[in-house]
Amino acid sequence: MVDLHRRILDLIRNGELPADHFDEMACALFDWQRKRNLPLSKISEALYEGVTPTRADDIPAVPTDVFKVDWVCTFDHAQAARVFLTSGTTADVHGRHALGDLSHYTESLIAGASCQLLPASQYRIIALTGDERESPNSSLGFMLSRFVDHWHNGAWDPFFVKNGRLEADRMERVISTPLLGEPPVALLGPSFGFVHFLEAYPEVRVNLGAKAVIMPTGGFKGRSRELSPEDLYERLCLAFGVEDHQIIGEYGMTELSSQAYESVGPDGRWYRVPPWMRVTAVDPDNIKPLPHGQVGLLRVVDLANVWSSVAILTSDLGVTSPRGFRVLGRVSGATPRGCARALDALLLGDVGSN
Amino acid sequence: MSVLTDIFSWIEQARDPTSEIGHSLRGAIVIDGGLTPAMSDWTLSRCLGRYTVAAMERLEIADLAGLRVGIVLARSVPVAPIRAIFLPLLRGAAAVDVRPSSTQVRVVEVIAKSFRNVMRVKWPERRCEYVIAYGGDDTITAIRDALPPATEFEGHGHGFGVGLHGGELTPSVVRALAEDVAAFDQFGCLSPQCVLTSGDPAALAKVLCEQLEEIDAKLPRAPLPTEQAAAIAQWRGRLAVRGARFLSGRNALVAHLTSSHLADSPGGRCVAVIGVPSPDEFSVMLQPVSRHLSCVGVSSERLMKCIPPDCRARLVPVGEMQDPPLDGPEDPRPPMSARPR
Repeated sequence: MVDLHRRILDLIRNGELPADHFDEMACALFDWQRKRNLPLSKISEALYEGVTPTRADDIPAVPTDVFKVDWVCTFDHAQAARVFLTSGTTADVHGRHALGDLSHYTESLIAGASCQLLPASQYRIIALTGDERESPNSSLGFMLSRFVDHWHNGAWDPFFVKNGRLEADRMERVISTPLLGEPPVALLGPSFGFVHFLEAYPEVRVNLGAKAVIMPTGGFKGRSRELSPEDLYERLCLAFGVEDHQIIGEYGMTELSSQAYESVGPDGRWYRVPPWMRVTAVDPDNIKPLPHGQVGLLRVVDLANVWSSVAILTSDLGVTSPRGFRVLGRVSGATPRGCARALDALLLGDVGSN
Repeated sequence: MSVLTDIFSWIEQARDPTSEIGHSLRGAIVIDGGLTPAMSDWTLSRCLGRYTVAAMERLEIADLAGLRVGIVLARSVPVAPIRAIFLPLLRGAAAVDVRPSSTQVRVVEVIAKSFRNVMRVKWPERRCEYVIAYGGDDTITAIRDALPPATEFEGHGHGFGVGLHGGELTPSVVRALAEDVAAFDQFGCLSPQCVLTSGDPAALAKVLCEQLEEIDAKLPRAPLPTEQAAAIAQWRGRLAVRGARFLSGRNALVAHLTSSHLADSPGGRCVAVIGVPSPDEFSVMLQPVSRHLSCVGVSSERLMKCIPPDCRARLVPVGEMQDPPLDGPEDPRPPMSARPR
């Protein structure tokens, strides 16, 4: 492992990072990546005039779409320890994130969750996913499998998706047993998984206790009936006997290596990032940071993203505040005239070019 | 009074910005299309200019004589509903049920106000004997499959345009290409998504960007919503990794690169100029998407043979991509018809 990567791993483990040190590390990582990552180098030249940044805000950010058309990685992707794929995109074109090794990814997700999601030493986990062997290219599956390895101490198989199907009946049986006590229960999974369960068992009413945690993540991606986050959270509180603050949404994506988690305060919910991550809202015209409160495109600097690009330009619209950030919606990328399928043919041509 | 007379009378009023119809229509186009008032006026004058008596008489083929026709519209250029509604009436439909795109209802409502005796704004009822649908392939397939077996169907899928350029940098030719890009702020199904050139892509991109700036002075692009600007940011990234360079003009962005693959566009007067070794490559590059091509604009007549043999797109000189004749077809590709019974 190169020294820079080792230093990043250490700071993730330590969990402390002064702001100026963050900028220095981020710029150093970008410089290291640019020399080894041709797509990043091209973006730097074409869109940022090849400048050498001194602040994290000035680092060339790779738009997430680029992961669909090229390998954004600093090594031969054929040697990847793991490749995560985005799910459910148009024309079945998946974004691909190749990792040279999994140490930063794993360290980041455990350290981040320990602080913001799962502070206890053990949990009885109910994961609304399959284990990683079911979907080896799923970053969510990997994450929840690591959570199970690190925290699960329960009497049941923690993975409630088998062969792509939610075991709603088994889940209902498990949660219907007396579950108060230790270790606390953690329900973790994609939002549409929770919706499926609630549709299968709309009358379920259990009490998971004051230390239980529920973590829904992601949108519905066209599956199942869509609920607003507010409606979903209300139904989860009712079904599982928890308070609103026990529901902690997760923000992550295949193109990143770290996650942000919601915290509830007097002014509502904001996503908070770990010390090695920074999220800003930028003007999509010039990718410059916007002041708190102005809606822009979310740009993420993630020091754990050592194998691809430290700075990512997402397709999410959002707003920041001193308390964190909020996601307001996702840019579809399709043009307003809706020629999505016809243009997907062009996009596939884009993919074929690399 | 024949329906042709009624339509012609409406067209005459629509041309007049001081008439109630003309005023309402212009406002509706600005909102439905997200266009500036200047572009709205230009759009309307180009569209309405096609409605000559002779052109409309050629459309009176009576193949829909006496039928109640359902029309399902998709989001498109804001004047698209005018032709979509008037065409079936000229073909003899007794009445039309029109379901507008959820985001473009105003133009349809302006038309409906004048044609209440033959038109309703609602989802086509089951008693419609003929349904015409516009949209993506999945959408029109779903509509077709949900129809009663006896209902005839005509589906028009989305498509896109491409410009072919033979290397000449004649100002009038590049200007014409720029007008094709700028029309409807490049949000039409006939708008060129990219331009293939056998000349120097950087040189063409430079002149094209300059022409787009000149056009913008008289026909300004509407401000882009944040979502659109975000889509452009993603587009720039996808092209940058293919080696593209970018030229920014006022309200225009032109990328240039050398490649053997096409490029999409996020609209909003953002276009890629792609250099290829020779015009022989045009057909090879267009072949994978030929069934989706609705229009190909060429910079010279010699390029008209440079399209794939199975391509049914409208083939026109640059400058005319957005000007399909009323008696058309706008899109020569065969429509989807009813499933076999």
